Amino acid sequence: MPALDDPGTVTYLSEKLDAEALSVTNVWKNLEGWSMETYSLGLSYRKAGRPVEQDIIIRKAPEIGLMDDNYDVSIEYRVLSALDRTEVAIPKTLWYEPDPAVLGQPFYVMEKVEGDIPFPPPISFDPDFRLIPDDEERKSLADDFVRNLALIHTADWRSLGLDFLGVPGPGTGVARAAVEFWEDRITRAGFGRKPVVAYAANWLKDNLVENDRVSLIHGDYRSGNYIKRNGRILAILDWELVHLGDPLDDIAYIMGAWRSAQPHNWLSHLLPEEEFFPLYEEASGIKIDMDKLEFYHMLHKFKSFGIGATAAGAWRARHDLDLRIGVFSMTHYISTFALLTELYKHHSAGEGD
Amino acid sequence: MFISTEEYLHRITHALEHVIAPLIESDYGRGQLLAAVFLLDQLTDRIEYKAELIQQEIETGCETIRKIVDAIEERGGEAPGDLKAFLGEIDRESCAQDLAFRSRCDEMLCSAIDSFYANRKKFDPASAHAVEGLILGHLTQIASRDLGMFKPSTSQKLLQSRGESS
Repeated sequence: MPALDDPGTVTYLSEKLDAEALSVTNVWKNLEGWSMETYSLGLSYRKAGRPVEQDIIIRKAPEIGLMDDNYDVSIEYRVLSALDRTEVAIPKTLWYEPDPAVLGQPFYVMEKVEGDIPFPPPISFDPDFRLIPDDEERKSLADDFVRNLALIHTADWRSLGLDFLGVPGPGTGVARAAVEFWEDRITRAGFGRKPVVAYAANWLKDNLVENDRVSLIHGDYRSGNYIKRNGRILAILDWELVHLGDPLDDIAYIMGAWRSAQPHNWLSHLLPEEEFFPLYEEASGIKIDMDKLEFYHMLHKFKSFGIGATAAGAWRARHDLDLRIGVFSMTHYISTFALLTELYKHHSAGEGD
Repeated sequence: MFISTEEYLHRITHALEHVIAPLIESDYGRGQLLAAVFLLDQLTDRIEYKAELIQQEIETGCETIRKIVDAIEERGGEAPGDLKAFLGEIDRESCAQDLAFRSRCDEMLCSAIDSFYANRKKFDPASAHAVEGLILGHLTQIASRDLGMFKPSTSQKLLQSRGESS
């Protein structure tokens, strides 16, 4: 990839921003993400005779990512651009560049949102771990967290032109599409079919739930994927797994206690479960069906297994990939056990039927 | 296990030598790292996946396949031909207890699970529940064993050092 401050890139940025005397004052690569590559650029230039200092973010498809070998950054760009017409807190997009000749891969550019990202520790075994120690700030962030989720789930995706994401079929179409999506990802990881996958996929297909509504789903909605400042959430990030589906998909994921002891007392490190449900239902007008939620809990465990499998596949395929992905790929021992625990829970509940 | 032990070691030594070592400025530090690479390279061909682990998976896997097939046939169902051929094969001859055969057992067990679900309507609830318990029992036995060998403290240390440096 050409350097982000080399003369060719500077010329390219100058043309795109209609800027004169542009210089790149700062380049920073986000090392946290293991899929999309994210760069922050500080720019200094003149426009219409006036000096401008601007920070931009570049989101670029990886050579081979953690999730898949065929990233399409234009999806995230199109979704964010469409959501600019709603109240969902998102960064403002600037442009999409499909030409891989510019930076080696297609990418899109957005404005940088100033603030910080509260990131959960790698693994917390304390069920009462507080990511946001200040209670007032936590409550305010929890309100924004739920409000933005409700805004995403109630967004009119058809009028926003988001049906390009693929409208699932009626009846059990949403649930079936979700199961098939992750089954396909696991297969594409290239390790052959595993008995635990065969069992879980059969269980899921045997217990598909009807969908009451089709909503825009973030797919990775959690602490670590938003920017906050002064107790407010200013931008929801990382829309790589965005799709159309059942709101329960996101809700089960949030309840999945990512990087935490299970059960964990704080959903996504922000609020207790008993506060989340009424707050979400009031904000969205969507009633959480606890029976159907069980299916999505299982799907979430299947998805976690799938992410581990794709990480292992990516690590095996690419020789200069971060060694930490090798560590991550080992977590499939945990996700396999978690998936089996969930399957056993339902098996035990079925005793005496 | 997704990736074989040999492959893991190869990937680790490659990353240490070609990605990490050039980033280390200290001659001493780089020397230590390359010494570790050398040692791991020497060990790669000498390390074998523990035979008893593979053997356990093959034995209990085959037993589970046989019980599923018997249960299907007892209820008038038809198990796939390749599954029945596989069971005939392991009855007739002693099979290699290696990773390749374990992969084949995994494949056959997947086929048996699919077949059970395809014939599930022929089962009364209690019998179906018993077969599900049998499959889950086998899978959980292996998963528990593997999880018991997992070393979370080391993993946590590695990930924490990442947080400190970034």
